[in-house]
Amino acid sequence: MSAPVRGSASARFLDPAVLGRISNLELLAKTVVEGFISGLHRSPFVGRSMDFAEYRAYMPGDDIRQIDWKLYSRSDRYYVKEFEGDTNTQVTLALDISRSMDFGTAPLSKLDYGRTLASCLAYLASRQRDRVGLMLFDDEVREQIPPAAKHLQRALLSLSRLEPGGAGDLEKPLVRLADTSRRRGIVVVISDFYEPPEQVVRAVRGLKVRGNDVLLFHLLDPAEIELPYDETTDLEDLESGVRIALSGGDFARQYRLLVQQHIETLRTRFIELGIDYTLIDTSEPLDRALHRYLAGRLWSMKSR
Amino acid sequence: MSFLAPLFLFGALALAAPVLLHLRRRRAKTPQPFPSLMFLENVPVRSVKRRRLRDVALLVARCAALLLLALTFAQPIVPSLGAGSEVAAGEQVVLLLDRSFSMSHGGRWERALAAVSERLAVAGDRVSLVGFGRQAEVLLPWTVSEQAPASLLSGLRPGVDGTDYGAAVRAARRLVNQADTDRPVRVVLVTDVQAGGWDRSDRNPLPAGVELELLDVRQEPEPANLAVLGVRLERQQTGDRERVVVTARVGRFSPGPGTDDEPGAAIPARLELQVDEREVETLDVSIDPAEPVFEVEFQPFTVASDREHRGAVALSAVADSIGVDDVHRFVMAPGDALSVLLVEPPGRRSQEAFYLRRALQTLSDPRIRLESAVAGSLQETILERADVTIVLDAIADLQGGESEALLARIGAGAGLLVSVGPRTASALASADAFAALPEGLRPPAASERRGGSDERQVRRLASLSTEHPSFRAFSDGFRDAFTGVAFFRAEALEPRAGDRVLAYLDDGAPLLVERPVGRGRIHWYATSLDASWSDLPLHNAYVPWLDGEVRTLAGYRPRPPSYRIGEVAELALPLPLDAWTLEAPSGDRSPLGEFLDQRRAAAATLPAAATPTAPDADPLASADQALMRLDQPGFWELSTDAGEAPRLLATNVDAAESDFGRLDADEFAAGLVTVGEGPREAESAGGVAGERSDAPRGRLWWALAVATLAALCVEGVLASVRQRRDASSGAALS
Repeated sequence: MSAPVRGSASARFLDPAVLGRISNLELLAKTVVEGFISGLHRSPFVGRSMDFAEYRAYMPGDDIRQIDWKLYSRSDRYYVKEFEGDTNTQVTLALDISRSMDFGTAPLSKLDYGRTLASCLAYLASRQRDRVGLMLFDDEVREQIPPAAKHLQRALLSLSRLEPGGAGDLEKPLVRLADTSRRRGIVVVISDFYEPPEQVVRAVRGLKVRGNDVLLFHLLDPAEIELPYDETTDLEDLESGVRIALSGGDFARQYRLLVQQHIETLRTRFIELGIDYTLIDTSEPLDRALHRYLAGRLWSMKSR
Repeated sequence: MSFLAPLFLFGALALAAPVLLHLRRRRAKTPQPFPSLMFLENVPVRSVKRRRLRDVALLVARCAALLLLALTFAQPIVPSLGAGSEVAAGEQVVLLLDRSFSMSHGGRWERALAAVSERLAVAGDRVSLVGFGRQAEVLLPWTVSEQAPASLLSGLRPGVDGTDYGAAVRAARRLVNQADTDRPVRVVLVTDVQAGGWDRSDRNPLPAGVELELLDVRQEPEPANLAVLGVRLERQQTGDRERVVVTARVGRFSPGPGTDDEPGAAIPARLELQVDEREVETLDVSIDPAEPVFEVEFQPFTVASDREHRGAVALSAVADSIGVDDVHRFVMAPGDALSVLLVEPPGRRSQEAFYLRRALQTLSDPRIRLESAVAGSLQETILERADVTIVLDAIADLQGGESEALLARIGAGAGLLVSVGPRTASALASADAFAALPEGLRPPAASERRGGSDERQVRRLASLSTEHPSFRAFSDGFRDAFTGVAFFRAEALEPRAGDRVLAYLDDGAPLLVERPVGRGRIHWYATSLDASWSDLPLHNAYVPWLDGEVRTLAGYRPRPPSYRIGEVAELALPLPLDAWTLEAPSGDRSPLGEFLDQRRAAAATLPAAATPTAPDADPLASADQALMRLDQPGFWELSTDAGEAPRLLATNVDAAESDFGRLDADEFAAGLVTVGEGPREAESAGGVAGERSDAPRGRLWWALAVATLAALCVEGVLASVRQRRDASSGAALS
């Protein structure tokens, strides 16, 4: 799997700056995902059941074994058979909409980036015949859409309407998600994880314990990583409203050190737990996140 | 180091501004939102060095610029090495004490002495004291105040002189220029601020940088003052008797409006005219405030013409405060008369003298004693009597002895007017007609004959030296007076070296040529004085011109009936100075020559700062002429044993001192100080001022100014760099 060719349509639509100009979330997700998929040589994902649903035109990436050759002989066109129950997993997207996510110096704020990412993942999952569910949370579950094959539009609608919430707290919503999930599946958590690593681990561990494949997307703005402010700046916490005056000559270096320690701690702990953890810089294109999802999807299929 | 304008040093307090600015943390107006302060709250170095100065280089540049700017405006003075061992502590004070006689009024003198005494008692100051009236005298040269003699003020009294602030300021300038450069100089003027003492046209202010303090010692209300301001003498000649009418001018002065005891009441007073200390007439007058200055005329009276008389108008009133100005003394001398000798050609009575006689007989002040003589038969005695000799077309007829005597008389101060008529014109045509005349009497050589009686060519007056005393009557313009005057004939005179042409005809020919001879002068008139060669005698300009001619040629200067204290009298005596004895108003008698010698010696020993504005004694005095300064009120009498009648000089106090009109203090002070900062003038004052030099201070000022500019440039560069850095940082954030 190669990276998108620079300048190609897929690469262009994976750029956050371009995505920010598309207001229709479904169109956005479709554009991204179709372009993304079209860049792949082969669709590695297959699904089959005994209940015929419909014919559809062959699309690049479909397994050629699914082509109905009889129909081809009659119509001289390639069609593949669709079957009901082709979906073999459920994908639950958990998006952190706490106030801290409403920050961004890149073209997209973390919340918009997470919204776009969630939309694309939902569309991609739906296209792969997975059942799609959505949970929006800050310190509580603000909205939850249970996974279902036909919940894509509902999920996209919720994502398009969402507003930033209040203070964030991972444990309570994710524990609730774990408790309410009846089937194992893929749980994608999109958050900035502004909690001590132990609390984050404690919150996520319940999902893993219940047999879910957990994918964590850690969204950080470049300013959160580099802290490009000088001593003349006062910073205000988006969630608590606490202000702090930057001082000291090496506060930025200290900050970056603490952030890196935080990230490394999370990464280490999640590796230990077998949880897929991906740090996303919101100034980066979406492809890394999509690839990571597809890799997790494949892993999930293989593990079943 | 001291400073000329130390108040500007307060500007250095502005240094606090950049320091505070650099200590202050320049914060954005609105805080920057940030997702979480979870990590920043754990940054251990927070609040360390919170008050640290930012941009130290920029701060240093700004502070240096401000400090240098304050120093530049403060004008530091760095005493040069070896400039004196005295430690510069207090200030240097020049005390100018008004000693005019108005200071004796209403307790002013006591207040002035108290103020001066208080100033002299300030420890650490260098002080000098100048007393002034119309002249200034250094009473105490620069001295440390502790060393000022205790008896300095005890013997001081107000004088009888007038006030001249210009003289005081000139003395102060000299003292200021002798002062140390490392200490500020203050001039304290202790006076009653009389309006009459300041001549606004006297632009001679104190040097720049010198502070003036005006101490007004008047304490209102003060009573009114009455004074006899002057007299005017009018002479009436009836036959051989001369009657004199004395008119006195009387004034009433109040210190200020509404300060009089009874501002609206008339003050009764008595005026007494005295001659030789005997009462002649007494008049009772009432001096109304509505007419503060008025004239009182006494009855005419006859005076003996053999000698001079002591006259006085004395005023007596109850409500008067100053007595010294209540008497005005004057000299009643017999009316002056000038002796004019008309010299006519031999053999015939010239018609030329007709107009001339008539014109001269109309002159009354001075009167003209007219004598006639014929050229070739002049007696030496008649020549000796003549103040002016007028030779009517007879210069070529003078004999050798006559001409020699005439020339000698002119050299001694008499005058000669030579008119040119037909006889002289004929003589001018021949080469040796004037060979017998001495060189000084020979007319300006005629280069060619111009005009002639036959031609009747009319010429007009083209120009006139109106500044010459002969033409003083035409100082406002001669054209109106001489319009229509026709000159039918005039001989061409060619001035010699030293001659001066006083009038030209419109063809460029000189009409009147002056030749100085010794103390006298000769006027050559290119035409006749009758109506044959010109019609000038028929015009109005004839008499006033002749009046001016006679006065000028005679060297006549009328002697005033009285002098003001401080004025200089010109002594023109018929006998040598050594023959006279002088009796001063104080009663002291001394030979005049000895008295004048003492005055000269005293003037020579005066310190430079006290050089009087007028000489006490004329250093160029001749044997029978001298200038003498009159410094006492009263009568000065010059007497001799050689039979000459005594000569009198009357001296009075300055009438301006009686007027209490007050100067506007602000205007007065503004007129005495120099606006703007600059170095004190370096005047040469007896070689003392040569020790001072303002050049080092000027260089220091320029150095500070350049350093200030450099600091500002550095600050600008550093601020620009800082601004660019901030801009690039901001762009990175956005």
